[in-house]
Amino acid sequence: MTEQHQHPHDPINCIIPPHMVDKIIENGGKDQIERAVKTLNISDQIRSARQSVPEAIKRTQAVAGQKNRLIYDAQNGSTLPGTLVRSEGDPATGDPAADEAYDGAGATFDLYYEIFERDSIDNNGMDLISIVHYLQGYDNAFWNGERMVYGDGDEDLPVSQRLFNRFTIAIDIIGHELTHGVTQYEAGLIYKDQPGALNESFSDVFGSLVKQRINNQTAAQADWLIGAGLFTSKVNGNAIRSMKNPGTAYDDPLLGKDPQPGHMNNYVQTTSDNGGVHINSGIPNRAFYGVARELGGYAWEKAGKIWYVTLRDKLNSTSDFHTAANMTFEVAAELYGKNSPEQLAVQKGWDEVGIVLNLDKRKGCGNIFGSFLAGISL
Amino acid sequence: MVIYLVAFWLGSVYNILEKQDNFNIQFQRTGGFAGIVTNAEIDSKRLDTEEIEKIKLLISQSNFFGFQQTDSLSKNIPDQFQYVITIKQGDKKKTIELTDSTVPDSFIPLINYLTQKSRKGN
Ligand SMILES: [Zn+2]
Repeated sequence: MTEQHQHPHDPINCIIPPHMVDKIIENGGKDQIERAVKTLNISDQIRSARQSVPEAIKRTQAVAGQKNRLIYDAQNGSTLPGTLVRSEGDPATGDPAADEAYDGAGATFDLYYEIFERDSIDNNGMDLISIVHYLQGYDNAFWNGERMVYGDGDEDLPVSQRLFNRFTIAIDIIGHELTHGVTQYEAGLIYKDQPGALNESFSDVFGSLVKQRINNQTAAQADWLIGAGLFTSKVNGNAIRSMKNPGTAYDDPLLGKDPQPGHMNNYVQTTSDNGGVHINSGIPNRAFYGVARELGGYAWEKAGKIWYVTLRDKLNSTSDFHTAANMTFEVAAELYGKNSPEQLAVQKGWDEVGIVLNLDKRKGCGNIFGSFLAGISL
Repeated sequence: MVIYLVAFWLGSVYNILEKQDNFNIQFQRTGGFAGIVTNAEIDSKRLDTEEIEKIKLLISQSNFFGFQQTDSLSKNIPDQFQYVITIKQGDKKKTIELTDSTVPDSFIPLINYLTQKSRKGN
């Protein structure tokens, strides 16, 4: 994993066609050539870092747009993957965890394929492997670099003491975990501090969009909750997080209060949880909600598209909140035009969480590229 | 005099054995999809003999004091739990940091026990 720090406005954030970089090397002055060579090298490093992620099992002849879901049952043990209980096209098993993992992975694949034209986690038809019934009393779900893993909650406690249901119960959790895989193959955001909180936020954003699309809800109709239904009735709370109102999802005597901030003024400095990746994600989460609210309609159509292209093309492993904000602004201009309602909505969404875009310095990749080329006669 | 010395010696041995039996465990779990922090403190002074024996077995089965902490915690794995366990037992004291991806199977029963205790707010 490359961890060299890049300037947030480094041209590497933009896609410069390799043939143009070659042209600069051929014709440019000494400074331009040095920069172009550096750009090429960094791109290569990023590419090789992405390729070094664990290779998941791929079908030898994957057909574009055809999902291949495999659901395994760990039978409350730690041995992965466990027993294969449902393959693509198989009928329902009758086990809610296995069937929810199957349906949720399908809905997430469909969002990425039908809306964003992405073919699975790696955009190359990778198998969607889920493991259910992981360990005993495992109140969690995670993406292990290759597969989605779900626990059954705190089923090891007497019913009257349980706080969590099984982690497949909320479809946005499934979309969240699968999106960690997409992020791994695209921006590769390191799981720490602001890049880590962005990583978390992208997972909440697309997890929520999976849920909104399944429910056919507009931005105004959606609840913008993450993990609704996960808590038992014993917990005083609706969900794990609220993208609309971070910090209000739960307030419970046993679990404490939802610690998420919704504004940079309340950014939490901590070393816990890799620098509060599940806490500070509330800030970009609320920015996305604000953009979707401003634009109205189905959130996946415009706000989701802007966020997806940003994740795919504009961010790298060390991108911070400001870089993400500037890049969504840039993508909005590329997709919908400069000063379009979409671009202004993006600006407003970030402004509401205390992130001011660098409008003067940042006028898009074209301009950076333009200054990059200044003085060179191609 | 001899009887007194023997009694004193037996008393000392008893004290040493009792001290070796005493333990204190501090447990913290962070991270996870929900990002909810849970804590537990277990002290043998507040437990009955049966519970003490159960926990001693969990500690010895995990090979806690023989475990070699590795540098790599694989922290780049999204949504996994991180565990910090400190155990004082007799004269020994040790802190181990683990993540779901680095937990050895031998630690799972101990971590399950501590997780249950942390959930009940003990
Ligand atoms: Zn996550």
